[in-house]
Amino acid sequence: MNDDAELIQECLSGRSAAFGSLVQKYQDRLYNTIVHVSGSRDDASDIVQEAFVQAFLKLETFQQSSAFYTWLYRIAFNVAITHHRRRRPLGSLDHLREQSGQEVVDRSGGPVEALERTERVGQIREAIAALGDEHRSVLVLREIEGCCYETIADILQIPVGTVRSRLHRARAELREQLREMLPIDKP
Amino acid sequence: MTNPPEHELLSAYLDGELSADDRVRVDQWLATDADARRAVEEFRALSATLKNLPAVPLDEDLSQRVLQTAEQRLLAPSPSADDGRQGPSGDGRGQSVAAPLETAGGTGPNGPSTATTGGPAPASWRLGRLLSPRVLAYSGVAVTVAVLVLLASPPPEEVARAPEEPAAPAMEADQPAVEVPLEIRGRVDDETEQSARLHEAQRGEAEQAAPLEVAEPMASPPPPEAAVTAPPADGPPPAVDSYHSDYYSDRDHPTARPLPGSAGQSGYGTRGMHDFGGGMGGVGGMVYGLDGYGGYPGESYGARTGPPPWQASAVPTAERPTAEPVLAEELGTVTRGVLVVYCDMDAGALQGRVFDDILVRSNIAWEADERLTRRPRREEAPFFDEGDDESVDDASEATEAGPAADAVPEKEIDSESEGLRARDRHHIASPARRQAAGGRVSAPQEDLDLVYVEATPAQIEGALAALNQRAEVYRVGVTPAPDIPEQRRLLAFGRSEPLAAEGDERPGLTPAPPHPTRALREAEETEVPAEDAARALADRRLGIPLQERSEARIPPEPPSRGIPGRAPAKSTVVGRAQRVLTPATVREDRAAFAGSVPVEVRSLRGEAAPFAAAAAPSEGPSQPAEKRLPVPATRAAPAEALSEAVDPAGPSPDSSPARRAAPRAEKAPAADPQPESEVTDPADDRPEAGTPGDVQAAPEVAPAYRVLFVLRAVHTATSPAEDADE
Repeated sequence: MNDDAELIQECLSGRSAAFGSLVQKYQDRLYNTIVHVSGSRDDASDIVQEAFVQAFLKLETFQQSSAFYTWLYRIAFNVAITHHRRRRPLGSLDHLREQSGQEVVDRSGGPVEALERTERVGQIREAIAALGDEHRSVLVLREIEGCCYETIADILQIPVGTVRSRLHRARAELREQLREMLPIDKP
Repeated sequence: MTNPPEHELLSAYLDGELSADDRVRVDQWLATDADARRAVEEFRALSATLKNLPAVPLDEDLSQRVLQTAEQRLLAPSPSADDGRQGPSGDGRGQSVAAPLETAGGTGPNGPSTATTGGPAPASWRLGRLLSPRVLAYSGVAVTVAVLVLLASPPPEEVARAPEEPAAPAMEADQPAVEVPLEIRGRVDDETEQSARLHEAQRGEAEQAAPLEVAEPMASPPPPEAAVTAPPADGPPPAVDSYHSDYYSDRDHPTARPLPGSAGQSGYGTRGMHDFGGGMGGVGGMVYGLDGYGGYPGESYGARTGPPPWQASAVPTAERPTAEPVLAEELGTVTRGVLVVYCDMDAGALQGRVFDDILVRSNIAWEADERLTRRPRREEAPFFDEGDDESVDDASEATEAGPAADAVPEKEIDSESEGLRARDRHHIASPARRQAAGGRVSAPQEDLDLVYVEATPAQIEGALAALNQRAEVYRVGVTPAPDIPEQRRLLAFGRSEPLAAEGDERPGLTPAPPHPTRALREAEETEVPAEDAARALADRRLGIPLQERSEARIPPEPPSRGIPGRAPAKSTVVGRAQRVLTPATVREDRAAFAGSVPVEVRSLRGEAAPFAAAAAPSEGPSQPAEKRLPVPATRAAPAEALSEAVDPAGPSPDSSPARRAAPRAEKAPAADPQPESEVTDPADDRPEAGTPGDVQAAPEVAPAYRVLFVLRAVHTATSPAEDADE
């Protein structure tokens, strides 16, 4: 029995603090994924919190036939979809940075290099945010989260073939937008 | 490189998600195709770029907030996702989004199915979480706060329990002083809140749909709240809009409650059954798929001068027009292509046959439709024969065992909506009113009159204008059949909007949006061939299946109504067929149909309609040719002929069951500005009649439209019916 299963059993036995450990374990990872899906830090925070709350409330229905984080991600993506329907349009991270002044700052290298890198990151995130919802979800789960096709299919409740096609289209679209930025030798 | 699936293979190849065979195939492809190799390199670079994106950290620990929010929802009696919008920290960062809970369980392998591998611990686990120290601490704090609030609450006499004032001392002597009023208050508050929400929802859906209002008991003294919020006796008449809003507002009618059972429960479309107008609008919306036709869409207050009687009365016991959901039930067949004119008028005027005079002056002949006004089911309902408690204030009382509920048959109060509906029937037809009405057969509809006519636009407009000019008429509303352009124009007329020149766009009148008819919709759903769907649509528009139309055309001999000795004209029979609006009702009511009296479709001789000049008959494109009835134009008749034709006291008791017989007037020459005006006898258009005034000689044939006048009595403190009640 892995750590997640032990924590889940403890939580089911009445020790709610065990679920707090699960939250601490997965919140950053889930947040980093959801923030690219939702395009908003605040929205991502709300979505992640709601996902954990619902996971806690429905924990007894978790049958542990898959990984806890897969189940958690499925909840989070459903919450994100619901949230997205209520709060259109999505704002990109860059747009949110302009509004709130918050931005992820890469402090590696010199100031100029950091600035250029930050600008480049902003462009990439804008390009991700410009993708369609379906394509963006698959792309983020694959490229940001590193999920395999089967896990992505499990999380999004779609066939593996659909994952493959959506991922390819998302990559193709993103490649067109970031072609100048990609470190590829020009022919 | 031209096959898209091959591209997908490249992407999957990059991710290592290909089978061995596919991988070999892609390797061979890449060895020979430079573009493929370049695509793989680009995808690889893109993937590396995305993977190197800096992670976005979460600056806070969500664990505590998650647990607190979850426990709050566990403690909540009816958990909702919105409960978590405000975190316990109150810092504004605790907002969470509402999401369907079923998504948490999911439908996949970890769904909420009972077959479990990990084994859910529903009872013990929930009990354990509920008995955790944190939960117990919250519960203790909540109970403490509740006790403190109870101790600091005002005396029970101040709670909204005014209607129960006489019994209050005994209750207080027997029960703790703080329990009963709180229970009552909580119930009242909940219902008031629900009523407010329901009101808002209804107003949002149908801006003019009126909620059901239940009149306060006339015999009991008004509660203090009612006295405070009652409209001022001598206040100035409100403006049109405020009049409308105040009229249906709960503020001036604190005990009024809308019908909880709205559209979903009553099953009459989206408008619900909050009043008859809403009910009919719901039917219309159901049939036409349109919004905005509920309630009193064509309300016209412009002709009213001064406040309505219930505001002018010194005694604020006026009774508002109550909801009549049963009417929509009865009128379920009268939906398509019918212009429904709602008219609230003084009860005395309704009983005094004021409308008869209006119809005659508008040159509209009519017969009462017994199928609409006198249905045996209503007359035989034992409910109307029991009890004198005609007003039930509290919605819950209709469903609870009590004096009010005792008067209702048990089968009619199996649900709250049914109880309310039964109460409305009771309210509509109280024994006292039935007695005051002289023991008429149609006692259940004594506060209501339905007059179904077919008339030309000029006649309809004349009737509308006459209604607007009568002081006894408080309100006139028009609901059009949106598929008939002429009726849309009449809607504008009912709204007192200026009539533009023919062919011009009328400002303020929104044309009916194109909508799929039910037949076509059903055809789409059931994949019925287009020809069949079109035929079905044509049948429905005509109101009777084509194969049955010939049968319906056979006119039965009218026993004693109409003109003695004269068979009804052919057009009359067609008009009667049009009253049946669905093929099902045709088959269902064919027997009753055979004995019913045809609707007169011809004009009486009499005064020309006041708006005849403005009502140039326009040919509605959607009007089938079969629906255009040859209605002769009219010419003016002497006023004395009209006065002779109308009996203000109404028909004698021994008259025909159809309590209105079309009054006739002798032909009389008169100066009519309309050249096509020609007085004809209703039977003159029979092909075999051949009278000089035959309609066939008239060059102009005006289309006739079906109009249902829904006359509702408004009882005031001084109305005869109320006086009789008291």
